[in-house]
Amino acid sequence: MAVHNITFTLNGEAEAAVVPSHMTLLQMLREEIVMTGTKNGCAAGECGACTVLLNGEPVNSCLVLAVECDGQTLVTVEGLAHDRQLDPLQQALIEIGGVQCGFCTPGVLISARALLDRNPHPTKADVQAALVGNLCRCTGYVRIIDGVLAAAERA
Amino acid sequence: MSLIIAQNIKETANTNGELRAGGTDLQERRRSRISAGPIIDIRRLQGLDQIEWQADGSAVIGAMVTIDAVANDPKIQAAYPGLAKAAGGLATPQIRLMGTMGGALLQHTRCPFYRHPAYNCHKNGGDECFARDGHNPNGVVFDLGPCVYPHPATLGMALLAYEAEVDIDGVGRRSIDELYGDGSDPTRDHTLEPGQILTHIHLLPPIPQEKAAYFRSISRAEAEWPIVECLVRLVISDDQITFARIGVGGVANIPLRLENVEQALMSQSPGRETVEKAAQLAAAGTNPLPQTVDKVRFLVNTVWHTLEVLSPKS
Ligand SMILES: Cc1cc2nc3c(=O)[nH]c(=O)nc-3n(C[C@H](O)[C@H](O)[C@H](O)COP(=O)(O)OP(=O)(O)OC[C@H]3O[C@@H](n4cnc5c(N)ncnc54)[C@H](O)[C@@H]3O)c2cc1C
Ligand code: FES
Ligand code: FES
Repeated sequence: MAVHNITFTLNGEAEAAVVPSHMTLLQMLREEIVMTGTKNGCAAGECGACTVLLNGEPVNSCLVLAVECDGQTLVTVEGLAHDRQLDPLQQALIEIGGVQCGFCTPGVLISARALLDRNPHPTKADVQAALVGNLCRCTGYVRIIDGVLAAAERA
Repeated sequence: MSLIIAQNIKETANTNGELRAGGTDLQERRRSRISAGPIIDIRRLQGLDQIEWQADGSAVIGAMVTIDAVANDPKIQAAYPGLAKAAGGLATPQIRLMGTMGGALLQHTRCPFYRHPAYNCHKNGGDECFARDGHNPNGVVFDLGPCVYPHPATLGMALLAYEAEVDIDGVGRRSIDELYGDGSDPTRDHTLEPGQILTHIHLLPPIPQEKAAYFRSISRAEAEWPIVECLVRLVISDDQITFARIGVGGVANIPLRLENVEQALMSQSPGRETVEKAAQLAAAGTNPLPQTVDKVRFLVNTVWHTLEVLSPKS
């Protein structure tokens, strides 16, 4: 089985891994690096639970090969809080009740972070459009959207 | 699995394996082992990730340009508004950021029987279409050949309505019609042979007064394949329709243009009556499956609605 030595930046730190050709980024994060914040919902690009930032853009890590991340920059949900301070999005989602079972939350937070990085003052429609690739079976989305708008207002 | 990271097109053309562009379609088939051979990653190929503008105002889009880049390019939005709307309306932000124009055109059918490892249909070595007799409310309404699952390519439909052409390395230029064939061969989703690379998409010079609308009838707000989708391009001059192109997707095993509806619109005043009459013609020639009879109504209403977006209210 072909393996590849890769290096990349993960949540601001330099990382290296040895990955087989077929390994997805999601598998590498969860099974190799054992960073399990990023979730595996469908492994088919449909649910968004596995969303991470690849060079600042939200992507489905279940569809990206680990080897393709050689030399790239990754951010997962574990990289959102800094110095024991939650990201304003995390804080707002907790306060406004945008989390129930929490399975979709890491992916939602990453998609929302990508939105706010690009557009710090989104409208409700902007938030809805940015989150269409993140399915939530619990909340009905209303409080997630309110949480993202609140985080944007506070920032 | 063997994975080759392709460095140049020549080397890629001579290598045995399935190409991987954004990987958003292919990876789902790797997971189910519908695709199990070697893979050639083409993300590092040079010269395929740009939108270039010609002196006549037309665009040439590289096969590795992402769907998102096409949707959000202000010049594409101005010159080819229907293409930008269709690109921005499909799938999810995550898929549009990874998915490429080449992959969007050449993706394989989303038929759940084809994508299930327990079924060998025409497209993976068998001699049967399980969607024909199995549960298939999403099936075609134009039954053009043995495979009755709709072609998935929104942008194939859009580029058909734009009369675009594609370059295939070592083969030359092909129309979108030629890229997909006539739907009679159930073994393939497009006419490229293994190893052939689609390099560029060529658009015609834009028509300055063009108005375009794209609409998808869909079972949830977004992030799913449509039941029926439609792209309409119209030029209206002095209250007369002087140019009409209509593409529809979700209704046949290839993207379709509705030339009969286009003809019915020509030289007419774009009012409610014209639009209603023309849209009814979308049903002409349909031969639905027992489970898709209702979809004919979706087709007519989707075309009608898309036309209404562009016609002045009367
Ligand atoms: C939830 C969801 C909803 C979706 N909804 C839609 C929708 O409504 N409409 C729609 O059209 N799509 C939809 N898609 C599919 C999406 O558009 C495709 O997955 C994407 O366009 C494929 O592009 P890619 O670059 O990732 O292709 P890949 O997965 O890399 O490749 C797809 C196929 O094309 C071949 N290929 C790729 N590039 C080339 C090339 N340059 N030359 C020759 N062969 C090539 C590959 O070998 C492979 O067989 C949806 C996907 C998801 C997950
Ligand atoms: S696990 Fe990747 S999109 Fe569902
Ligand atoms: S909180 Fe349960 S899936 Fe979203």
